[in-house]
Amino acid sequence: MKKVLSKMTQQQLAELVHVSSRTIISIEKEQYSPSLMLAYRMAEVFGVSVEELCCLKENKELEDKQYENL
Amino acid sequence: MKTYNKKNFWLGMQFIVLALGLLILGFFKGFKLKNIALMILCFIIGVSFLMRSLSKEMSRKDRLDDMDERNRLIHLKSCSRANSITQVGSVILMGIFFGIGTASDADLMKGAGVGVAFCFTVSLWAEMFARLYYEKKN
Repeated sequence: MKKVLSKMTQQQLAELVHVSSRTIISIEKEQYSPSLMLAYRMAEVFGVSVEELCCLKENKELEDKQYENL
Repeated sequence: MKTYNKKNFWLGMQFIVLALGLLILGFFKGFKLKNIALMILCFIIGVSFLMRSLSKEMSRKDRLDDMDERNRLIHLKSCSRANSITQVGSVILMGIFFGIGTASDADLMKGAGVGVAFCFTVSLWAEMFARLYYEKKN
Protein backbone atom coordinates (compact mmCIF):
# COMPACT_ATOMS: atom_id res chain seq x y z
CA MET A 1 0.00 0.00 0.00
CA LYS A 2 2.90 2.35 0.63
CA LYS A 3 4.07 1.90 -2.96
CA VAL A 4 0.62 2.71 -4.26
CA LEU A 5 0.31 5.81 -2.09
CA SER A 6 3.65 7.22 -3.23
CA LYS A 7 2.14 8.19 -6.59
CA MET A 8 0.56 11.34 -5.18
CA THR A 9 0.81 13.51 -2.11
CA GLN A 10 -1.15 12.65 1.00
CA GLN A 11 -3.03 15.93 0.81
CA GLN A 12 -4.07 15.31 -2.80
CA LEU A 13 -5.30 11.83 -1.98
CA ALA A 14 -7.14 13.11 1.12
CA GLU A 15 -9.01 15.69 -0.97
CA LEU A 16 -9.94 13.13 -3.61
CA VAL A 17 -11.43 10.67 -1.10
CA HIS A 18 -12.96 13.34 1.20
CA VAL A 19 -11.00 12.66 4.37
CA SER A 20 -8.38 14.60 6.30
CA SER A 21 -4.69 14.20 5.49
CA ARG A 22 -4.20 12.92 9.04
CA THR A 23 -6.39 9.92 8.17
CA ILE A 24 -4.29 9.16 5.09
CA ILE A 25 -1.12 9.40 7.20
CA SER A 26 -2.58 6.96 9.74
CA ILE A 27 -3.61 4.54 6.99
CA GLU A 28 -0.14 4.68 5.47
CA LYS A 29 1.45 4.00 8.86
CA GLU A 30 -0.99 1.08 9.33
CA GLN A 31 -2.29 2.71 12.51
CA TYR A 32 -5.82 2.91 11.13
CA SER A 33 -7.83 0.57 8.90
CA PRO A 34 -10.09 2.40 6.46
CA SER A 35 -13.78 1.62 6.22
CA LEU A 36 -15.00 -0.37 3.22
CA MET A 37 -16.29 2.75 1.50
CA LEU A 38 -13.05 4.65 2.03
CA ALA A 39 -11.01 1.68 0.81
CA TYR A 40 -13.26 1.51 -2.26
CA ARG A 41 -12.82 5.24 -2.93
CA MET A 42 -9.06 4.93 -2.66
CA ALA A 43 -9.03 1.86 -4.90
CA GLU A 44 -11.01 3.83 -7.51
CA VAL A 45 -8.52 6.71 -7.37
CA PHE A 46 -5.60 4.36 -8.04
CA GLY A 47 -7.46 2.20 -10.53
CA VAL A 48 -6.92 -1.00 -8.56
CA SER A 49 -9.23 -3.36 -6.73
CA VAL A 50 -9.82 -3.11 -2.97
CA GLU A 51 -8.15 -6.51 -2.58
CA GLU A 52 -4.98 -5.28 -4.29
CA LEU A 53 -4.97 -1.95 -2.43
CA CYS A 54 -5.32 -3.46 1.03
CA CYS A 55 -3.31 -6.64 0.29
CA LEU A 56 -6.27 -8.62 1.54
CA LYS A 57 -5.00 -11.96 0.25
CA GLU A 58 -1.64 -11.65 2.05
CA ASN A 59 -3.26 -10.37 5.26
CA LYS A 60 -5.78 -13.21 5.17
CA GLU A 61 -2.99 -15.77 4.88
CA LEU A 62 -1.22 -14.18 7.87
CA GLU A 63 -4.44 -14.26 9.91
CA ASP A 64 -5.13 -17.85 8.92
CA LYS A 65 -1.71 -18.82 10.31
CA GLN A 66 -2.58 -17.10 13.60
CA TYR A 67 -5.89 -19.00 13.81
CA GLU A 68 -4.06 -22.28 13.15
CA ASN A 69 -1.79 -21.60 16.14
CA LEU A 70 -4.71 -20.98 18.55
CA MET B 1 -21.57 38.34 4.83
CA LYS B 2 -22.62 34.71 4.72
CA THR B 3 -22.30 32.18 7.51
CA TYR B 4 -21.01 28.89 6.15
CA ASN B 5 -20.84 27.01 9.46
CA LYS B 6 -23.60 27.88 11.92
CA LYS B 7 -22.18 25.69 14.69
CA ASN B 8 -18.85 27.53 14.66
CA PHE B 9 -20.62 30.87 14.35
CA TRP B 10 -22.67 30.34 17.49
CA LEU B 11 -19.70 28.86 19.32
CA GLY B 12 -17.71 31.97 18.45
CA MET B 13 -20.54 34.20 19.60
CA GLN B 14 -20.73 32.33 22.92
CA PHE B 15 -17.03 32.85 23.57
CA ILE B 16 -17.28 36.54 22.69
CA VAL B 17 -20.30 36.95 24.99
CA LEU B 18 -18.29 35.21 27.71
CA ALA B 19 -15.40 37.61 27.13
CA LEU B 20 -17.78 40.59 27.30
CA GLY B 21 -19.33 39.16 30.47
CA LEU B 22 -15.89 38.94 32.06
CA LEU B 23 -15.19 42.52 30.97
CA ILE B 24 -18.40 43.80 32.57
CA LEU B 25 -17.66 41.76 35.69
CA GLY B 26 -14.27 43.38 35.80
CA PHE B 27 -15.79 46.87 35.80
CA PHE B 28 -18.00 45.99 38.75
CA LYS B 29 -15.66 43.83 40.83
CA GLY B 30 -12.26 44.98 39.66
CA PHE B 31 -9.82 43.44 37.21
CA LYS B 32 -7.71 40.49 38.29
CA LEU B 33 -4.85 39.09 36.22
CA LYS B 34 -6.49 35.65 35.96
CA ASN B 35 -9.76 37.15 34.71
CA ILE B 36 -7.99 39.40 32.21
CA ALA B 37 -6.09 36.42 30.81
CA LEU B 38 -9.31 34.39 30.60
CA MET B 39 -11.12 37.29 28.93
CA ILE B 40 -8.41 37.70 26.29
CA LEU B 41 -8.33 33.94 25.67
CA CYS B 42 -12.13 33.77 25.26
CA PHE B 43 -12.05 36.73 22.90
CA ILE B 44 -9.32 35.22 20.73
CA ILE B 45 -11.09 31.84 20.59
CA GLY B 46 -14.42 33.51 19.81
CA VAL B 47 -12.99 35.63 17.02
CA SER B 48 -11.18 32.64 15.48
CA PHE B 49 -14.39 30.57 15.48
CA LEU B 50 -16.28 33.49 13.92
CA MET B 51 -13.67 33.93 11.22
CA ARG B 52 -13.75 30.21 10.46
CA SER B 53 -17.53 30.26 10.18
CA LEU B 54 -17.49 33.19 7.75
CA SER B 55 -14.80 31.68 5.50
CA LYS B 56 -16.02 29.25 2.83
CA GLU B 57 -12.76 27.33 2.59
CA MET B 58 -12.22 27.04 6.36
CA SER B 59 -15.84 25.96 6.90
CA ARG B 60 -15.45 23.30 4.25
CA LYS B 61 -12.32 21.98 6.00
CA ASP B 62 -14.13 22.02 9.38
CA ARG B 63 -17.07 20.08 7.96
CA LEU B 64 -14.68 17.61 6.35
CA ASP B 65 -12.95 17.14 9.71
CA ASP B 66 -16.33 16.57 11.39
CA MET B 67 -17.28 13.93 8.81
CA ASP B 68 -13.84 12.26 8.76
CA GLU B 69 -14.24 8.63 9.86
CA ARG B 70 -10.99 8.48 11.81
CA ASN B 71 -11.89 11.64 13.75
CA ARG B 72 -15.32 10.16 14.54
CA LEU B 73 -13.72 6.93 15.76
CA ILE B 74 -11.28 8.86 17.96
CA HIS B 75 -14.16 10.93 19.33
CA LEU B 76 -16.13 7.76 20.18
CA LYS B 77 -13.13 6.03 21.75
CA SER B 78 -12.16 9.06 23.83
CA CYS B 79 -15.75 9.62 25.06
CA SER B 80 -16.00 5.95 26.01
CA ARG B 81 -12.65 5.99 27.82
CA ALA B 82 -13.51 9.28 29.57
CA ASN B 83 -16.79 7.74 30.76
CA SER B 84 -14.99 4.66 32.12
CA ILE B 85 -12.38 6.79 33.90
CA THR B 86 -15.12 9.02 35.35
CA GLN B 87 -17.01 5.98 36.66
CA VAL B 88 -13.89 4.54 38.31
CA GLY B 89 -13.07 7.96 39.75
CA SER B 90 -16.61 8.29 41.10
CA VAL B 91 -16.38 4.95 42.89
CA ILE B 92 -13.06 5.96 44.47
CA LEU B 93 -14.43 9.36 45.51
CA MET B 94 -17.56 7.75 46.95
CA GLY B 95 -15.40 5.47 49.05
CA ILE B 96 -13.28 8.39 50.25
CA PHE B 97 -16.26 10.63 51.10
CA PHE B 98 -18.22 7.91 52.89
CA GLY B 99 -15.09 6.71 54.67
CA ILE B 100 -14.17 10.18 55.94
CA GLY B 101 -17.83 10.98 56.69
CA THR B 102 -18.28 7.82 58.73
CA ALA B 103 -14.95 8.12 60.53
CA SER B 104 -15.39 11.75 61.51
CA ASP B 105 -19.20 11.69 61.60
CA ALA B 106 -19.29 14.61 59.16
CA ASP B 107 -22.66 14.88 57.43
CA LEU B 108 -21.22 17.18 54.76
CA MET B 109 -18.83 14.45 53.61
CA LYS B 110 -21.60 11.88 53.61
CA GLY B 111 -23.74 14.29 51.59
CA ALA B 112 -20.94 14.76 49.08
CA GLY B 113 -20.64 10.97 48.84
CA VAL B 114 -24.37 10.71 48.15
CA GLY B 115 -24.05 13.32 45.40
CA VAL B 116 -21.21 11.42 43.75
CA ALA B 117 -23.13 8.15 44.14
CA PHE B 118 -26.12 9.74 42.39
CA CYS B 119 -23.96 10.86 39.46
CA PHE B 120 -22.40 7.40 39.26
CA THR B 121 -25.83 5.75 39.21
CA VAL B 122 -27.04 8.11 36.48
CA SER B 123 -23.99 7.28 34.36
CA LEU B 124 -24.62 3.54 34.80
CA TRP B 125 -28.27 3.85 33.79
CA ALA B 126 -27.37 6.07 30.85
CA GLU B 127 -24.82 3.52 29.66
CA MET B 128 -27.32 0.68 30.01
CA PHE B 129 -30.07 2.46 28.09
CA ALA B 130 -27.65 3.63 25.42
CA ARG B 131 -26.42 0.03 25.00
CA LEU B 132 -30.02 -1.25 24.71
CA TYR B 133 -30.81 1.44 22.16
CA TYR B 134 -27.84 0.67 19.94
CA GLU B 135 -28.31 -3.10 20.30
CA LYS B 136 -31.83 -2.67 18.96
CA LYS B 137 -30.82 -0.20 16.26
CA ASN B 138 -27.92 -2.25 14.92
